[in-house]
Amino acid sequence: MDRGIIINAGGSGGASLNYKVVGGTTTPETPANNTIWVNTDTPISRHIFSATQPENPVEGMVWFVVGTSSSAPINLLKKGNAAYIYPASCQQYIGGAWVAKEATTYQTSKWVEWATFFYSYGDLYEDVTGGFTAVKNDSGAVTFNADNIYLNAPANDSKRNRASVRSANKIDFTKYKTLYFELAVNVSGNDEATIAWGLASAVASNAIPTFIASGSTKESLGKQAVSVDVSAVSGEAYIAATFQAYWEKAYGDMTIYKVWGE
Amino acid sequence: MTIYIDSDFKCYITAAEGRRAFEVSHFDGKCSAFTEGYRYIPAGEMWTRSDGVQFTGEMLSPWKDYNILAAFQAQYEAMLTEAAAAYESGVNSI
Repeated sequence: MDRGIIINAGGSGGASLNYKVVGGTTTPETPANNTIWVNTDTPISRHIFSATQPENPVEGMVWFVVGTSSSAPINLLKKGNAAYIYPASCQQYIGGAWVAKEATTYQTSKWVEWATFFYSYGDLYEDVTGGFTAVKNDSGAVTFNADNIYLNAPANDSKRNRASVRSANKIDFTKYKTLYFELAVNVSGNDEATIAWGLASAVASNAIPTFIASGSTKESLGKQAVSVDVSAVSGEAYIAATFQAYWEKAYGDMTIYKVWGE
Repeated sequence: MTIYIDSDFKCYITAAEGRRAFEVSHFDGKCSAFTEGYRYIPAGEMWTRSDGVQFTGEMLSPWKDYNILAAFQAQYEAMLTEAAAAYESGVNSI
């Protein structure tokens, strides 16, 4: 049984709901608020909002993958009622296979691009990331908490403790221009620790990640969003973050709350 | 490695007027073609991409297609390996 909200009647959304789905190869000229435009030349037969892949797809069905966060959340209901969904990506069932499609929502008089979430407060988005893998040495620690990923590289006067995490899968970043992390960093000691986040081509157990594009800090950071330009990165890479202490002279931790791409 | 950045934060391996010098370990062992395909935003500074999105340093990101930069670096490393092997062969023949 498909678990989600299935809308029939050509997938328009219906007059009783607070949104509309439109397919086509160009954005509608006069869209209403909460119009979801799917960039497709295949007629949309129906659509479904679901966190998991529909079990009984039909030709032309559009699957809006929903999660716990979205750059364009939608209240489905009218008249002061509320049922929020958080669309993250879109696929359409064409010729017996799911095909990724671009989708965007018209809200507050502009088209809002959908961010793709890779991690959000405990949600690993495993259908995209495969989950996240800890890569650490001796006393570095990676903890997958209920609502964050925690990296800890404690002080040690005889070795450089290191805690890294990477997506289990390499992810195709061709369509993304910016990678965001919401994180917090605590650093004690001098500025010799290596603290970085971004896209990596490799994450070995005996070294810090081989970053392709990265942000970094030498200082503590309060919980905030940081961004990395990935507009010139095409093809696949790991999402990765690391905290490597500098013996007992610089050490600390990083807490990751969200990771998303736009 | 010492690199030099221009007003658009693009990296160079040589100094010139208007460029600022920084030590960036990310480029240790990297060839000039690889290095000069990158942008480096120092800590505390901000770069605005052409679409208006702003990025605060410290940040390193390619501005040339990374696949091309990776190919340059792979070629460079292959040449180094070849040169080392040739040298070794020459030494051993003496």
